[in-house]
Amino acid sequence: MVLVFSGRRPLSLLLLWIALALGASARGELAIEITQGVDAPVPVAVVPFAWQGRGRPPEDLGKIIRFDLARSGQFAMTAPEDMLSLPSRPEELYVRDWRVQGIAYVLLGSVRSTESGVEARYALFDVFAERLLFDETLEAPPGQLRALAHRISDRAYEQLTGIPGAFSTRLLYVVAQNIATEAETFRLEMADADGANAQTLLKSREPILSASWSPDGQTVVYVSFETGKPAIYLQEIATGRREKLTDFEGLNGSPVFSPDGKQLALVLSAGGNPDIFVLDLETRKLRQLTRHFAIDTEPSWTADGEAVIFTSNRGGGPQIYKMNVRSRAIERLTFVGDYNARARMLADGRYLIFVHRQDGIFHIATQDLERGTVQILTETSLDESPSVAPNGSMAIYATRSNGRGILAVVSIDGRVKYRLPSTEGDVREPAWSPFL
Amino acid sequence: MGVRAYLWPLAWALLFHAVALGLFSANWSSPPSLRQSSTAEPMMAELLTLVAPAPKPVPKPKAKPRPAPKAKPKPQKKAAPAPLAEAPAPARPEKAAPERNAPPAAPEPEKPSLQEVLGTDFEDALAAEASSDASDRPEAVGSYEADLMARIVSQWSRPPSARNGMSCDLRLALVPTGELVSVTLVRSSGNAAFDRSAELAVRRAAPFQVPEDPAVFDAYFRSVTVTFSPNDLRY
Repeated sequence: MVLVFSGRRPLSLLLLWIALALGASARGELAIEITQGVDAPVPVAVVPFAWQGRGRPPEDLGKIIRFDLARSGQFAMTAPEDMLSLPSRPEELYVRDWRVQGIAYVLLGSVRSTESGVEARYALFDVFAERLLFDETLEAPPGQLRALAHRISDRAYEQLTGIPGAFSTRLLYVVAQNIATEAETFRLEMADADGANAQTLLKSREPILSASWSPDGQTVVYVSFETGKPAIYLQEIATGRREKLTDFEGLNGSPVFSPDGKQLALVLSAGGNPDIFVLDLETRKLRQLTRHFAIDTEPSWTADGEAVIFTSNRGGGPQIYKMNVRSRAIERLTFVGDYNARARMLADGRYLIFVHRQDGIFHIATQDLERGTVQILTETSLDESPSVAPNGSMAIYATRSNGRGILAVVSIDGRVKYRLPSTEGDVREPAWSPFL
Repeated sequence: MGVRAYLWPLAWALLFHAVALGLFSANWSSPPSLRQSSTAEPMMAELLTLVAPAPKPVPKPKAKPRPAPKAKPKPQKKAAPAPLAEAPAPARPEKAAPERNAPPAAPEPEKPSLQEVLGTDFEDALAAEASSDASDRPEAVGSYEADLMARIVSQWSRPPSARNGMSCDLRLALVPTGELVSVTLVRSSGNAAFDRSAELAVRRAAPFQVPEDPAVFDAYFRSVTVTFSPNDLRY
């Protein structure tokens, strides 16, 4: 066809040349740029898992996974009773059944008992692309079905969002009961990220405060008043073995592990007023970081371990400061509002999450450290102690509801919120574990 | 298919040079009007429908982007400034009367010149190509394009790992019924979840409204490249 043009006239030849040169750019096809979206939850169905064993399954895996994914706020979950079919293997899945309902992804699977425990086979299917995203098996010891379900949630979440799931993580928190009575008790508890499987790590008649995790998730540190005055303790989760780290005169508070797990930042007031100290866990040497007549408290580390951020009222009201651990160069981070406290830096180093008071109400807020903009995430009042999930997507915090302390979770962008099923008593001071 | 792919580019180039030659052979008197007329053209068509209910102007761009009418506007303006009934677009509002006369007049000055330069063999190619020139495309294309965009936007849920500045390109293959035959990732953002969210948006948005005219469909909608590059995310 092209050759037809060439012999005709000299001019044609020239034109042909130019045409060939311009060919690519001269195509008429439409090129569109999409710069906005709606970010509505993506419809996902988790089919009830088939049980290949005797009796009834001890746990409903599909239900646990559904609850996990729903809590993330990223997905709109389909109820099992609305499903047109209940496949448990990819081969049994009829795309049409899901497509008519607009469901974008289907997670399905089965569980069977083995000699060593249980094994799940599960698959994630992309309905619109008619493509299997994964088809895997995972084993767990007997009695670990919930853990197995959370692992599957993690896999699906990561596949669909590009962020590792944090459903297999745990929470630490303190439950206070019968406050201000003779029978007052405090319990340090640890539960799965969905609030299930709560176990008590420590029970005391005196307050327990400021529990936090070691980076490997094997150890916790906390402040206990069990001797009548505050002391910092280290406790191995698996063995329950514990060790008193500090019990100086005055305040012993807010212990937090450095990212490498080798040091602890904490607050001591032995010198007269509270300052930030760093304790080397190997040598047990203590080093004073801040030295100021104002109150310096609530330390935490930047992800690189280079600096400690803390609350100080050295400028008048409480604000967040950052100090380089080596050079001790100090920098004030917050300027919006007259009360900013209890800050944690997100792993990306760009965002700070903290307690921010606006119009007399305490909210959880983030600040973009590049732009300085503050975003209030929570509408409740008396919000405190934000702690960020290891994947950086959510923060758990303590708040009050009907006069009781409860735990609530908010996504870092403020769009998704949920409350943890509350147990009896007053729940406070949550700490989200690292990846376990 | 390979031949087809070359056809329009080739034709476009031919047309372009034909016009250039035409301009040089005729006397190229008023260059400034060239730019104006080409950019203002879509408006002109609208004005026509408003001012003069004459059926001609409307059908021309919309239903029948027939080769001939299409190719004309551009060459006309350039090749023969004087007879330009339509080029006056710049002189907008009150052009109802001249316009009506224009269409009949238009074809004549142009065809001869093209034929002279290129020979009749090229006519079909030129005609077909004309409709694929962006500045010259049927106005209807714009509304179908907007509809396609809006449908995709309304279905696009970005994963939490998405960031402003990420960008991927998908190529959509459509059929004349508006159905989506395939989506191809031609450039990845580097984030698989982001790429998949874009693909899902397209698949959920389908089928699309596409022009009924086969020529217009072929020219613009058989293959559509969509770039996804969010700028409305928090960060």
